[in-house]
Amino acid sequence: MKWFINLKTGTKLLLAFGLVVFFLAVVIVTAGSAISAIQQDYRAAVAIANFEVNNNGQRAAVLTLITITNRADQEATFEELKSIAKQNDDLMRTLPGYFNDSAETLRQLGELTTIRDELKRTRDEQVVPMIREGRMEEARALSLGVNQDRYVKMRDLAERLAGDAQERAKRMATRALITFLLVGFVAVLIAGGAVIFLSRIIAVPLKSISATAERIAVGDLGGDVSFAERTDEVGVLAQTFARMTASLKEMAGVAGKIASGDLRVQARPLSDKDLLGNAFAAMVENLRRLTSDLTEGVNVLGSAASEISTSTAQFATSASETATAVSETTTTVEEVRQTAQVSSQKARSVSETAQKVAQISQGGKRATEETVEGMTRIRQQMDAIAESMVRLSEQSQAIGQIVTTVEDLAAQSNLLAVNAAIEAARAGEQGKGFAVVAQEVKSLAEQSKQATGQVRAILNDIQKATTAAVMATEQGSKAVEAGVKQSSQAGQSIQTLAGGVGEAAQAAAQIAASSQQQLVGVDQVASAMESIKQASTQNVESAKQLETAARNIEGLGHRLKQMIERYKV
Amino acid sequence: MEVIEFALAHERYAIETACVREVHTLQDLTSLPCTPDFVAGIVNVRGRILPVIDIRKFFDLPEKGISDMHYLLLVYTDDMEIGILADTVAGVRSVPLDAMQASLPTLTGVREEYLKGVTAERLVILDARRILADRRILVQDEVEA
Repeated sequence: MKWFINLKTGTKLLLAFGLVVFFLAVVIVTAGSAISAIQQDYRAAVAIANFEVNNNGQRAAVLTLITITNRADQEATFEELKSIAKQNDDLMRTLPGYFNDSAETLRQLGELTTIRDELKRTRDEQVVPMIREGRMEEARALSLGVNQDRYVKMRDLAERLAGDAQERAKRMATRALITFLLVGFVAVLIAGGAVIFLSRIIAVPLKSISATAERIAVGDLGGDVSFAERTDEVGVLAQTFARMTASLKEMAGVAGKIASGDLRVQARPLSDKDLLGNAFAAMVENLRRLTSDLTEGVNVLGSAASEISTSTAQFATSASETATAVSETTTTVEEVRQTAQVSSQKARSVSETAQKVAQISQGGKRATEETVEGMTRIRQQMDAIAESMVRLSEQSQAIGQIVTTVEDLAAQSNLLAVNAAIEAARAGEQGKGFAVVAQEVKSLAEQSKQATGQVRAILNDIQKATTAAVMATEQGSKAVEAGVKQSSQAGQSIQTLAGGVGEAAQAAAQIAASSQQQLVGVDQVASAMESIKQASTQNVESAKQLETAARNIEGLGHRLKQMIERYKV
Repeated sequence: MEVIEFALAHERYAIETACVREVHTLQDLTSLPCTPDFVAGIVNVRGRILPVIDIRKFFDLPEKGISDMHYLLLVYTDDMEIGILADTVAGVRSVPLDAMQASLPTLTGVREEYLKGVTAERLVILDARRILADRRILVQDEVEA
């Protein structure tokens, strides 16, 4: 069976299944033919039965015709008989097709045919016309006589034919069944054998190879792979598996050498598609390079660690010094901060005071402005007074002029009186009356003079009073002027004061702001100093930690060196 | 005696009423050159031109006080009429003759000959005729052209 085993699995399967299929085909063919034969027999039986039924129907129709008397029914029955007879003819024609396998059958069929024809003839040529003519008795006699016999014979023949057909069918069936059983049994046997064989030569090796794959999957590369000598797919698979196992073993060996510290191994990839091999080769190369780099690095590390150690010691001392200096600075900064706070407060209060003073000076300025306004009003009043005075003096001047005129009148009257007196004196005795008149005139002139004198005196008084008033007004005006000047001076000085105070207020505000900023800055400095202090404390701690770490690194460096020396490059 | 009393530079004088035509206000006194200094000038009174005499200058009295010279007394005699300056004219009064005294030399300095007398109130009564008859009144002067 070597040649079979070395066939391709596909071919093997094809052969095995082909055999089974062949047997199946045989069975099918057998079955088909048997079934068709049985069918034929069945159909024959059915045809005969139909024929028989038909005959019965005909007979029944005829008998019915004989018995019924109604014309209409008769006609109907005649029609029925005709149709049944036609069917009978058709059936008759088909029968030979079914019954032609043996001589006996043929003879029987012929006999049947003959009898039928005779029956038919009798019926059609004699019975039916008799019935039509009303000769029922004769018809009946015929029907129940000759035709009855023929009918019975036909029936027997038909039954025999049917029975023969059934017999044949049964025989065929039995034969077919036997053939099926036989062939089937053989096929089953062969299939079973094929299955067992195939499973033996396909499934078992595959199972074994899959078991090997399972082992390889969990990493166990031991064990051989059997079935490698076959040349079919199984054999190919086994060989490939063996190659794979071998290469994996080689890789495992390389890995083992690397693990033990021997980096001199060479990892050979099996092809340029060998992922694992290429990766291994690269890994080995990298490991070699890495180890040499590591060796260098470790050396450097060792020297650096010692340097770090010394410098961290220095750093620790300097950090503690820094910490003390920083704490001192912090206290100083705190003091400065407090001072700045105080000065800031003071500056703020000064600023507020300056603001208030500025407001007050504004108020003062307004007051002086009002004063100046009042003064101006006073001056206006003074001017009005002066005007009135001027008018008054003008009026008194006018009065004076009038008085002068009156005085003049008085003087002239006086003169007139004197002249009159002279004339009276000259006139002598006759002039005495005239002298009286002259005296009257003189006295009138005297009165006028007195009156004018009084008026003038009053005028003088008025004048004096006016003058005094004018002087007072002037003085008042001067005083007002002085007052205005003083007010404006006061206003100016207040303004200057306000300006100065404003400047002072601005300066104070600036001082307050800057001292506030100063305070903020000092606060920031204080907090910065705090954080510096914290940082320096942390520095000291970190310096100590660094020292320990440096020492650890040194130790680590030593250990690394020892570890690296294990690896041979 | 009826006299007219007038004042001139704080001195009170009087002249007989008989010799006084009228009293006038002084207007338009026109001064003349080349006249003696006691001639104040000329004046036009109702169409008549009259000379005006300043008594003080006539009597060579030292000038003291300011004179208003508002009034003019028209004094006349038979052949002459002059005007006499006066500040104020008091009026006509009667002076009893026996009240007059002869002038004292310590008084005003006016020469006695021109005075009729002085009253107890220091009123100098002038003699108009004598004044007017004085030669000095007649001015005849020629001015060299």
